[in-house]
Amino acid sequence: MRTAERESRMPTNPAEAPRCRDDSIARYQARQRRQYWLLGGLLALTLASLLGDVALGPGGYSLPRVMAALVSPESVSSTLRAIVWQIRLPVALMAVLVGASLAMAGAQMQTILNNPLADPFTLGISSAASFGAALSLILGIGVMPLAGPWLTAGNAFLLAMLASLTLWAVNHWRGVSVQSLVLLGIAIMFFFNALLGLMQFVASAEALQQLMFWSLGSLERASWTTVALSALVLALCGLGFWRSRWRLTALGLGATQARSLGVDPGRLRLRVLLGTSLLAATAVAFVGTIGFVGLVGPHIARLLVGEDQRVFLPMATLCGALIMSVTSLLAKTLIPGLIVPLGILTALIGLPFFAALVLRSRREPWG
Amino acid sequence: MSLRIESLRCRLGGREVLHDIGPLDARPGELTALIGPNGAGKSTLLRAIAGHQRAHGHFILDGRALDDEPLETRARRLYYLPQSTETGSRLSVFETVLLAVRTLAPGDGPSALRRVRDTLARLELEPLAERQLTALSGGQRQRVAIAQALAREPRLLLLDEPTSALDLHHQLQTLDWLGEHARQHGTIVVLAVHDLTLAARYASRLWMLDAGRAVAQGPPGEVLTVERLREVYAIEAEVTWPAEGPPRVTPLAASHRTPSRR
Repeated sequence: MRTAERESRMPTNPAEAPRCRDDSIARYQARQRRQYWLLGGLLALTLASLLGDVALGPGGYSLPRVMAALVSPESVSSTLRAIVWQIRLPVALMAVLVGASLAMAGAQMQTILNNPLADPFTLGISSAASFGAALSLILGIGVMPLAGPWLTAGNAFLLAMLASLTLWAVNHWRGVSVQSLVLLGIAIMFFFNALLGLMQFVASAEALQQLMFWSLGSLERASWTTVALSALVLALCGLGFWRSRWRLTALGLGATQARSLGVDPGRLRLRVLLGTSLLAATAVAFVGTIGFVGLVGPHIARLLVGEDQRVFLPMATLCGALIMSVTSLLAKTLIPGLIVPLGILTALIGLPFFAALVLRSRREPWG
Repeated sequence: MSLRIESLRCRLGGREVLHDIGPLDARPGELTALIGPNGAGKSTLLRAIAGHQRAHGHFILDGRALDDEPLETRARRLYYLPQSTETGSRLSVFETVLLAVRTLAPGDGPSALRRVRDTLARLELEPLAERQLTALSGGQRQRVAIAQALAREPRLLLLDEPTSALDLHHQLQTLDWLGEHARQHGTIVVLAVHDLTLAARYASRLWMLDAGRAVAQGPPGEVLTVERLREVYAIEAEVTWPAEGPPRVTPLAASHRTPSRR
C-alpha cells in the first residue's frame, strides 16, 4: 500500500523527473533576476529623485541650466555654480546618505533584535542625541572640544554613541536576552527624554526654538564635509554588514538555528549593534532626528525581496535613500518659499504608509 | 572512528542536570537513539555535545576532542537540529536549505545549488521550494530543517525529536532517509525519540537516560526490557520479539510506582 502510494507520487513520464528537478534551481535563479531588476529600478528612481532634488529650488533655474552647471561648471554663472555645487548638491546627497544610513541601521536592528518594530530610535539613540544637542543649544556646553555648528553635531553624536555603548556594554558583560535589550533601550529613551524635558523647562524662548528646529530635522546644515563623513560611515558599515550577510540571514532563523550553522549570535549582535549605532548617531548628529525612515524602509524591502541579506540589505538601504530624497524634494516644493521640516514630512507620509503595511500583513485577528 | 562521551556533567539554573554521563559510544553509518522519559536530560545532552550548552566532560569525535573547538569549527563537523523549528523568517524553502550550505562555504557556485535541489528532491520538498517558511505547517518546517541538516553533510548529526511534528508516513520516511544517509556517507547519527518501537526498529544502538544519568546502552534487544521500562518509564509494557526484526514495545498501563531515580 505504502509502495503504491509512493509510486503514485512519482512523475508518470520518466522524462519529467529531471526537468522537474531542474525547475527549482531555474525558479530560484529567475526569482534572483527579478530581485536584481527591482534593485536596479530602485537605484534608477533614487538617481532620478536625486537629480530632481538638485534641479528644483527657489531660484527657478531650468533643468538644462542646472544640468550644465553639474556637467561643465565653467559654462554657467558663478551664482548658479555656487547654488548647485555648494548648496543643492550637498543637500540632495545628504538626503540620500541619511536615508540610506537610517534604513540600513533599521534593517540590521530589526535583524539582530528579531523585532520588526525596532529602528535606530527604539533603543533611545534619538533621545540621547536630542539631549546632547540641547546641552549645546541651551546651556552652551560641549562634550567634545568642537566649536560653531560642530558643537551641536558633536554633542548629539557622542550622546547617541553613549546610549548605544551602554547597551553594548550591558550585553557584553551581563549577556542579557534580546527582549531585555529592547526594554533597556526603552528605559534609556525615557531617561534622556526626562533630561531633555528638564532642559526645555529651564531654556530661554530663543534656545527652545533652536532646539525645536534641530529636533524636527533639517538638511540645511549639509556641507561637503558632512557628506564625506556620512558616506565614509555608510560605506564602512555597509561593507561590514555585507561581509556578514550569510550570518545575518542565518540569525533571522533564530539564535538556536543560527548557532547550529556555526554563527555565534552574541558576538554577531554586538558587532552589528556597534555598526548600527555609528550609522544612526552620524545621521542624527548632522540632520537632527528623523523618524520612520529606519522603520519603513526595511519593511518595504522585506515585502519586496524577503529576508536574504544579499538582496535585503541593499534594497532596504535604497528604499531609505529614495524615501529621504523624495521627502527632501517635497519639503521645498509643497509650500512655495518655505522648507517644511523633514521630521514632520517623514512622519506624515510614513504614518499612513506604515499603518497600511501593518494592516496588510495582519495574519491573526486580535479579537 | 566514532563518537565517545566521557564524564559529562552539566548544571542548569544551579542544579546538576547531567551526572557523570558516559562512557557512551555511537558508531558511523548507523542510527543511535537517545531515549528516556521527560526531563531525563536528552535535549541537554544533545545541546552539550553541539556546544550550545556549557558542560564539563569530554566529547571525542573521530579521535579529536570536540569540547575545545570553537562554535564555528565545531559546526563544520556536526549539525544540531533543535526540537522546535518555529521561526518568523520570510526566507523561502530553497533559500533556507541553501543557507545551510552557504554558511559552510560562502559563494554562489552551481554545485551548492545542485546540492540544495537534490536534497529537496530526495525529501519530496521541491513543490514547496519557493514557499516562505512562515507559510508552512509545523511538519513541513520540520522536514525543511531535516533537509538543512542533510544538505550540510556533517560527520555527526544530532537530532532532537526530528519526527515529533510528522505524520506516520513522514515519520517512517524520514527515519528511512536518515538511515540511508548514515550508511551512504558514514555519518554518525544520534537522535532523541519518544517512540520506543520506532527507536528499536531504526536504531542499532540505544542510549537510555533517566534523571540525568545514563542507565543503559547497547542494542535495542538488550536495553528494552520489561523491568527497565517499569523502573525508568514507570509503565507496564509488553516487549515482543517478532520472528524477524527488532523488538516491539506495547505500553499497557502507567505504573503506580514512582521511578526510583526521580
